[in-house]
Amino acid sequence: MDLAVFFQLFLPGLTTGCVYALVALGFVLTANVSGVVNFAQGEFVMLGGVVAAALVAGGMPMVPAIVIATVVGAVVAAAQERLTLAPVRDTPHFIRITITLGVAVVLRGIALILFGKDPLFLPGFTGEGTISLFGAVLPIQSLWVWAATAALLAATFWFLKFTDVGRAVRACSINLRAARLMGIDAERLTLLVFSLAGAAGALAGVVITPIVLATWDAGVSYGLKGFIGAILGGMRNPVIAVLGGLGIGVVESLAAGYVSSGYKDAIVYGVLIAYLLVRGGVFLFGRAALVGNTGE
Amino acid sequence: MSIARVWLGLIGAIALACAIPTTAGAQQDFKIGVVESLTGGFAGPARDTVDGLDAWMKVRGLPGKRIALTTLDDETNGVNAANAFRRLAGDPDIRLIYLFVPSSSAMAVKTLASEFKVPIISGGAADALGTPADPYLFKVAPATRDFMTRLAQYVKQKGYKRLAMLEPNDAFGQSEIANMKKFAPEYGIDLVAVETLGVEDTNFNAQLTRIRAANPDVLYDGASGRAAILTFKQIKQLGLNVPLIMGQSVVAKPFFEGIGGADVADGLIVPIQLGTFGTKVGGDTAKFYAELEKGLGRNAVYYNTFGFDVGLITEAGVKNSDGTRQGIRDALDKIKGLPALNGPVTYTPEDHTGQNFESIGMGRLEKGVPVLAQ
Repeated sequence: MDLAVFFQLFLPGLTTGCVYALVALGFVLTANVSGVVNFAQGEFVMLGGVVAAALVAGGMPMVPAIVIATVVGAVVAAAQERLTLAPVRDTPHFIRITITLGVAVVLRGIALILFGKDPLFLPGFTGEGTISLFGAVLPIQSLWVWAATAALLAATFWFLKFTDVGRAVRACSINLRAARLMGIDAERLTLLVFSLAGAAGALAGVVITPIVLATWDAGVSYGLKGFIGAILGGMRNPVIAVLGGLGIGVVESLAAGYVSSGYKDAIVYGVLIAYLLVRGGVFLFGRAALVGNTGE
Repeated sequence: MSIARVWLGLIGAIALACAIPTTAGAQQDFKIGVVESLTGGFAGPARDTVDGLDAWMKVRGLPGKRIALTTLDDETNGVNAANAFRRLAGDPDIRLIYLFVPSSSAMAVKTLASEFKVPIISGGAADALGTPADPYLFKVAPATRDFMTRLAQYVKQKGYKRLAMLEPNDAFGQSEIANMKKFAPEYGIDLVAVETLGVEDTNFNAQLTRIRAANPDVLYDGASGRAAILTFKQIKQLGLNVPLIMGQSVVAKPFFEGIGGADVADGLIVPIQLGTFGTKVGGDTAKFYAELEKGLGRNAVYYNTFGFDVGLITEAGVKNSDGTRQGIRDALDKIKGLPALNGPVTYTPEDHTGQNFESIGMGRLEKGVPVLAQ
């Protein structure tokens, strides 16, 4: 095997996989505290990208544009939770999931109206150059994507493992009803986790935009692939969800390179179907099933 | 004021009132229905097309007739296009219908064309719009087979033997691949790599790595929109130093902005309709282009030229008919080598494509402007 070719396929796949991983993490965290699969998760990646690109195009320096785009992701996600999910907390599961699908469509529509249909360009954080790594040629921005993903993942796992609030989130994911009985304010936690997931998605959108551009409809693809990562993690395990997201990015790139570009999506979804069949569907929403966790 | 002057004033006013409708009545109304993507993804090109048509109405139009357009929005959606067409075709005063919609919407209307027996002049590049011919639907722009014919001729002329293709996995891209596979042996071209991409994809390293391994003499990249920008950038990043040809959709502001400026694309070759070269081509194209710009009052863009050609075809159809739906259809069906801005238009009962590969030139981009390369 030509190692240079392998890395030329593997490393860009890893870069795309970083975004899938952050979206997958958002899916898992929000599902654990709210019991809802938030299908608008991919739209925060889109939002981060288009907001940052529009601000920079309007003359704003890069750093404040990144901060504002990330805050917009957090605020919109919080608004989604407060305005569309909190009021229907006690309704059947499928209604709340349908609402998140509706929110995704609305966010795309608003982005189309505000930012237009043409792709938006954001300059690389440290220029438009390339680097050579293990014989593969990559845009320098890839390093920023990897660094931002690593930092976000480290911060998330530190938050979950070493803070009281993080422990409360984990408690909710194990048994929401029991967590409430122990005095955990699950509603406030849900709002917090939605905001963090929105911010993480938006930041992922910002760092990837110099490589892939930003468009109003980009969230669908990120959301779908991130969802597969979350499914691989059983919608419960953030570590496996992140690995699943990274793996999907790598597998689709390797499949396109070594098998055929025409079959890459078929291979990714084939892997998912095979995995779900092997696990007998038990992992679809976790062993205990999310319905059980919500206390319904 | 004397009574006589009052009477004179009244008589003058009555005479004037009678004269106004008489003058207007001399211009007979000619109603045309338009299904247009006023909203949705195709709204921009449709708007440009209508601007070109307006320019034709301003500088040429239909002598002795006042054109009245009735426009319905398809929202860039095939189902809506079919419904809008039904509504327009149901109006017996409408003699002709224009489709300024994408290929997919035009195809939805094609299935209804013969049912309503109203002549249609349609946009869209899909081969299936023109062949097999529906007796009532007349396409204007060349089909993908024509673009691939011109591409094959250019590749042969430049002495390239090994061609690689990177195409979207939609109907348009697959049609380009199928046509090139058919033409390649005829032109002595070895199709060494055929890679596909999803229009939503962002990472094309795999396809480009495979193309590089195939060692082509020239690469044709048929991507459009964001995929065109990203493939162009990734080709440059990978250092894939082969002559690059891309589809005509890249000659647009979003592409140049996305790749970092129009000059970044200098030297890029695009098969593009002759109208884009404007007055530099000479002949009928130059003549009509000058008329188009006069009507527009500004520089023309590609879809303006298409709208102007729709007008010229209408002119020929109405002039050589009794003005009824059937008469116009029959006249359109007989058009042979009609001079038009983008190239001559020909229809036969078997083929309603309109323009062919002769209306396509190979342009080399210089600061975002195509200069005739072949």
